[in-house]
Formats: sequence, structure tokens, C-alpha cells
Amino acid sequence: MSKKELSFFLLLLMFCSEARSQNRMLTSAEAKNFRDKVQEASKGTLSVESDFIQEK
Amino acid sequence: MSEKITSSGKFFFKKEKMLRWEYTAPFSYLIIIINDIMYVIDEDKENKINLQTNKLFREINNIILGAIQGTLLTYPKNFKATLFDARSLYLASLFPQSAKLKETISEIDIYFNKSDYTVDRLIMREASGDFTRIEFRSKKLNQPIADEKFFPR
Repeated sequence: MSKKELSFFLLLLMFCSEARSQNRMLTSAEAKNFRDKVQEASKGTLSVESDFIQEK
Repeated sequence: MSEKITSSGKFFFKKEKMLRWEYTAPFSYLIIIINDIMYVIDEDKENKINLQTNKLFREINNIILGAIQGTLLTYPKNFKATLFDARSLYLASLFPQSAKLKETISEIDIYFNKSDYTVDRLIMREASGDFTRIEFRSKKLNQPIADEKFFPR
């Protein structure tokens, strides 16, 4: 493998790792806390008024 | 895949099940959902759809209501949820479990605001590969909204 090819693969690997690291899966404790917070927020939400942009 | 169309407007929700989608651009029309009846109101005509008898519209309505009310995450009988920290937002990726639902929807991504846990963005990915993306901006919570806002006329 040439230096050029090796550099390309390394860059590709870095790009893939970066893309994957953007979203981190929540741990089970974090997930429970998140669900509780969403439920709590939705219970307290009686109305919502908002602008929206839809792409279809 | 078809060409993308971007629309915008105002959205209103009032507990328990009142929704109003006021499209203002590029075309003006109105969608109101109240008591399992959906009204689609154009300039001069009104179309009434009973959600009890229309399974697809009912499911879409349940998804939107479930996302706003948080029930899609807490009672996920129709979906399997995977939760992520997506930097500035939380992401719940929901995958339909029933074969019937899988025919139309492959995945629903709901992005929650990290400060108030309300929905900022909703992406519904269809089995065909098309998707619908809705961004909610300038949200006002718990402001008084008159019931008349959800009456078709």
C-alpha cells in the first residue's frame, strides 16, 4: 500500500469515527432519567404554539 | 425519490388531543384535528376524515401526539426506542414493531430540546426511502389558546 493510499484510509477512518461519535447512546440510567424528564415535561405542557418548517 | 418541498406555518397544540397546522407558505391551507376528526381546509373546500376509520392518518396523528406528549417513549408498544445524546439535543430513534406499520414507516427520529425536553425536530422516514422533516421553532408553552382555534369554521 502506498503512502497516499494509507493516508486516504486513515482519513476515511477518522471521518467514520467522527460521524459515529456525534451521537452517543444513552446508558440505561441516563435513558431512564431522560424518559422521566420527558414524561414530566409533557405532563406540565397544556399547550404549545410554535412556528414550523416542514420538508417533504 | 420525489423532489423535496419545503412548507412553513404555525402549529398549535392543546391538551388532550387538539392540533392545528396552519400552512402559510408556499400555499395556505389548514389542518385541524379534534376528537379523532381531521379537517383539511383549503380556500374554498373542506375535507373531513374520520381517524377512527383511516388507519394510516390515525397512526400519523398518534405519532405526532405521542411525540408531543412523550407517550411514544413511555408506552412504546408500537415502537422500539433507542436513545442518544446528539450533542445539543437528545435523539429518540423509534423503530416500528408491527409488520403493518413497517410497510409505511421505517424509522422516526424525534429530537428533544435539552433544556425543556420538548420536541424540536421530527423526522419520519418512510419505507419507500422518502422522509418528512418538521422543525419546531419559537415555541411558546402553556400560553392560553382559545378552543375556537381548533374549530374548523
